[in-house]
Amino acid sequence: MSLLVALLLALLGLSLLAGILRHIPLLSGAIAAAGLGWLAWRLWQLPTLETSTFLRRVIFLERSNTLFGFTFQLTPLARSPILLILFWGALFALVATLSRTERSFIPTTPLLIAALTLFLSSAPLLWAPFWLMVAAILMGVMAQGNRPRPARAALRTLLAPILAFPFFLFAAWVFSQSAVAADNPRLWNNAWKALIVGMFILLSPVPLHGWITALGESASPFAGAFLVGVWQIAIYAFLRNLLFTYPSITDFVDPGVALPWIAVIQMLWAGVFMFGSQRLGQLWGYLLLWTYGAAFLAWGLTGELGSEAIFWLFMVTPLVLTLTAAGLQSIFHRFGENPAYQTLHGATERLPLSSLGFIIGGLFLLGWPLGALFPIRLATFWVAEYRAGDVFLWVMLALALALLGVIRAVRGLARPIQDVTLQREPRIIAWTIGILLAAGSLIALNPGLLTPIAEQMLVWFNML
Amino acid sequence: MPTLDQFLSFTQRLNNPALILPSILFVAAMLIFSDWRWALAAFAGTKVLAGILLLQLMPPEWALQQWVTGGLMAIMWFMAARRVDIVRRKQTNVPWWKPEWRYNPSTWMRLAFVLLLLVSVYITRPYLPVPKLPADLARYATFLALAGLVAMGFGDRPLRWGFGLSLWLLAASFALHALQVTVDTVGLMAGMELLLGFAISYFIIVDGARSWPHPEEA
Repeated sequence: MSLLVALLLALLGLSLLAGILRHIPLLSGAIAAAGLGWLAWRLWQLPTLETSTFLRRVIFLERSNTLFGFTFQLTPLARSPILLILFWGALFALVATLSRTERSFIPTTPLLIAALTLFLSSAPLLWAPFWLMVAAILMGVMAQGNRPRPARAALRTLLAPILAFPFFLFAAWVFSQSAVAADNPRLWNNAWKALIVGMFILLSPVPLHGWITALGESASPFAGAFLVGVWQIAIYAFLRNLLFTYPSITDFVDPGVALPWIAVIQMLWAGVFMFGSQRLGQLWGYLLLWTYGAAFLAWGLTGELGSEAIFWLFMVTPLVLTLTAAGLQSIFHRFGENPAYQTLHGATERLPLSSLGFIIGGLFLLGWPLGALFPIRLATFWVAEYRAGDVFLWVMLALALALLGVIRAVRGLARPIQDVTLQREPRIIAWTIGILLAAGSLIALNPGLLTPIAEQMLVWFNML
Repeated sequence: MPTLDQFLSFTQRLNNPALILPSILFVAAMLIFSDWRWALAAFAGTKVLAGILLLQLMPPEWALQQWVTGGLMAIMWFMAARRVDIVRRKQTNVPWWKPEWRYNPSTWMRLAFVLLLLVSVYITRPYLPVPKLPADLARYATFLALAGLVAMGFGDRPLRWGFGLSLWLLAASFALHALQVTVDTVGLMAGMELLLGFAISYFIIVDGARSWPHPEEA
C-alpha cells in the first residue's frame, strides 16, 4: 500500500466515525481531533525513502498510484502542506468541539483534508484542478453547515476553482504539444498567460475575494477561519509547485513584485471595510481577508519560493485564529449570528473572556505584541520597509485602518447591559480561551520553539 | 423504436450552426425567468442544443453526454427546488397550483442586463481564438462564458449560480474538446458538472429552507 492510499483510507474512516457519532458532539470531536493529530504525528515521524508500517500494514513511501493513466504520489514536497493541514484540522476540531460549533464541521474536516491531499498529490495541471474543485465543494458544504442560512459563502467558495479550471486545462494541452513552441509562438505565449490567469484567480485577489468576507458573515467562525487557512496553505504549495515545474512563468510575471501588491490591495481593502463594519461577522470576514493578505505579503517579500518563515507562520496562525473564533462563537451563541454592534448590550459584562478572546485575537492577528504572530508580522514589516518602501507605507495604512475597526468593535462590545437575564459564558469556553492565550504568549516569547519544525518542513518542501 | 446507432446518426443530421440562435434564446430565458420551473426548462433546452452542437467536435456518443449530465443536473435541481417550494406552500397554506409569479424590479433588471449583453455581443462579436474551434462555435462559447459570469452577478441564489457556473463549464467544454477529445477530458468535464449539480442541489435546499415558516417541522 502506498502512503497516499493509507492516509486517504485513514481520513475517510475518521470522517465516517465522526459522522456516525455526530449526535455525541464531544466524543465525535475528540475522536476527530485525536485521529488527525495522530496522523500528523505519524506523517512527521515517517522517513522519506524507506518502507514503514502504518496501521499494521507495510507502507511503501515512494510508491505511486495510477488512475486513468495519471500518477498520484504523496511526494515529500506535498508532505509539508499536508502535515500543516492535518495539524490545523486537529486543532480546529478540538477547539470547535469545546466551543460547541455546529456538528457538521467535525465529520467534514477529514473529508476536506482527504480532497486537499489528493489535490496536492496529483499532476498540477490536469487532475489537481479537478480535486481542488472537489475540495471547494466540501468547503461549500462546511461553510453552509447544517442549518438554514444564506448560501452566499458556500456559492462563492466554488467560484475560484471553477473559473480557473479551463485555463489550467488549456495550458496543460499546449505544454503537452512539444512542437507548438516553434510552430505557433503566439499560442505558446497564450498558454503561459492562461496559466498566470489561473494562478491569479486561485490567489483570490480583490475583487475575487468575496468568498472570504462572505465566510465571515454567513458561516460559523470556525468554518470560516479553517477554510481560509487551509485554502491558503494548499494554494501556496500548489503555486510554488507550479513555479518549480514551470520556471518560465517568471518571464511573464515576477512573483516577487506581483505578490506584495496583490497582498497590499487585499489588506488595504480589508482595512477600509473593517473600519466601516457595522456587524461582528462583517468585521470577522474582513479580518480574515487582512490575515490572508498578510500571509501572501510575507511570501512575496521572502522571494518567489518562500522560506521557513512561511511554515512558521502557517504553524502559528491557527492558534490565534482558534482563539478569535472561540470568542466569536461564544458571542454568537448569545447574540445570534453576525449581530450588529448596537445590539451587543452587556457582552463584556456577561461574556468577558469571550469578548477578550475575540478582541485580543483580532489584535494578535494584526501582529500586536505578546501575540503569537508578533515576531513574523514584525519581520514582515521590517523587510517591507527595507525592500519596498511604498508597500510598507500602504501596509501601515491598512494596519491603522484595521486597528480602528477593532477599536470600534470594542466600543460595541462594551455597551451597558440591558437584558439582565443574559447568561454568562460557559466555563469551558473561558478555559479554552485562557489556554489558547497562554500557548500563544509562550510562542511569542520563544519564537525559536517552532523553528526546527519549520526548517525540516522546508527541507521536505525543496525535495523534488 | 430506433436502435442506438439509428438514433446517433439521426442526431448527427440535426447538427447545424443554425441551432446557435435558439440556444442563445434559451440561455437568455434561463437568466431572465424568475420562476424556477421555466428557468430549469430553459436550462434543459440549452444543454440539449449544446450537446448537438458539440457533435462538430467529437463523436456523437461522447457529445451527447451533455444530455446525460445536463439531464441529471436538471433533475437534481428540479427535485431540490420542488422540495423547497412544496414545504413552503404547505406551511403557508398556498395550493400547489396557484402561480406565484412576481414582476418585481429584479426581473426587469435581469431583463435589462441580458438585453445589454445580447446587444453588446451582437455588435462587438467577441470571441476567444481557441485553436481548432470553428469561428461560430468560438463566438457561441464566448457568449456562454459571458452569460455565465452575468448570471453569477444576479445575486447569491443557488439556482442562478448553478446556471452561471454550468454555462462557464459548458463554454470551457467547447474550447477544450476542440483541442483534445480523450476519455480523460470528457470524463473530467462531465464529472465536474455532476459534482456541481450535487452541490447546488444541496445549497438550494439549505438556502431555500430559510423561506419556510417552520423549518424544524420539515
